[in-house]
Amino acid sequence: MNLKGTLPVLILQVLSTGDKHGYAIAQEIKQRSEGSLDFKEGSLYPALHAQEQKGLIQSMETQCDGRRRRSYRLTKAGIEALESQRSEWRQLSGAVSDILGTT
Amino acid sequence: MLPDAQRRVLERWYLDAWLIAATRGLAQESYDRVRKEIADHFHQGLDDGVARGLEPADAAEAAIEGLGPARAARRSFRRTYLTTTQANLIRSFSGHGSPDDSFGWWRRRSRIVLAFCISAITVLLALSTPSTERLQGVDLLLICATCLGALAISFVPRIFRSGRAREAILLGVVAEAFVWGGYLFTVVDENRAFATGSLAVLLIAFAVGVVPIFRKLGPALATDATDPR
Repeated sequence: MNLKGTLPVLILQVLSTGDKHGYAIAQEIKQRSEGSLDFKEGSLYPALHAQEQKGLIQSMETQCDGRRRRSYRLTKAGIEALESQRSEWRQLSGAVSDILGTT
Repeated sequence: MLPDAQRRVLERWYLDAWLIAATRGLAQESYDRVRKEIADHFHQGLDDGVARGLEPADAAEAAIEGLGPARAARRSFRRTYLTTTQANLIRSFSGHGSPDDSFGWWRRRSRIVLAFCISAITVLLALSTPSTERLQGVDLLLICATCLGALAISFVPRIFRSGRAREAILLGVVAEAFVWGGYLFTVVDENRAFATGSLAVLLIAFAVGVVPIFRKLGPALATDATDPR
């Protein structure tokens, strides 16, 4: 399934459960969607860094399995952005469901 | 866990080609960060594949497949990170450069030196005109514009150092427009339409080059790009 444009909000959602590095974020999105949301992992990092530039997430070097990795954390602005994007998504999906008659 | 030697061989065989294709044209600072994170991602995928019972080579192939086509990744990288040209433009404004570069001082100050040279030529051209009446009119304004522009450009590196990269770029572009505008209008005194056209082309070229940089300059990348290395 094509998730064009939805990757940033999915990243914020995954990070709302705790700090994670890029690989863990990619795996969690795939697992939680039970494989429906399959995306090219190479596109994850530009999306992560774009969120970081906007100040929605922050990154830090951490020790993980004996290796130094860059982990990401949701900021206060990121929590607010996630909340507003969640409510926008609910409205949008509700409206589309109404039209398609699936509710 | 795979032994380090085998890991390095797999990285060289599978990941290096992907990275070369995906990061072509990226600024060194952006490349370093992308390379580190993608390499970590690849190794984690490799470990997971081996843990699932795949042969190391198959696990490496699966990890690369997961990253997707290098061309598509390159497009997203170039949208998000500074390219070499953009980083060079920022450096020429910020006054930072490589300490190993023997022409570093000149390269770092090329914009300031050029701006002062252009304003000096503008003043000389205006003063050497046969009619002294001209100096009382528009030409005096043009001299002021070009000199003020040159002066403003010399403040741009300071603004960069204070961490306000976007403001510094904006001031740099506006100041250069003043310098070049003053110069062009003085040189082609008889043909103001030509001067206006040339200045418009210069401004459009600047806008095309600078707007993507402006978009990319978040707090993190701005610091990376202007760090003296």
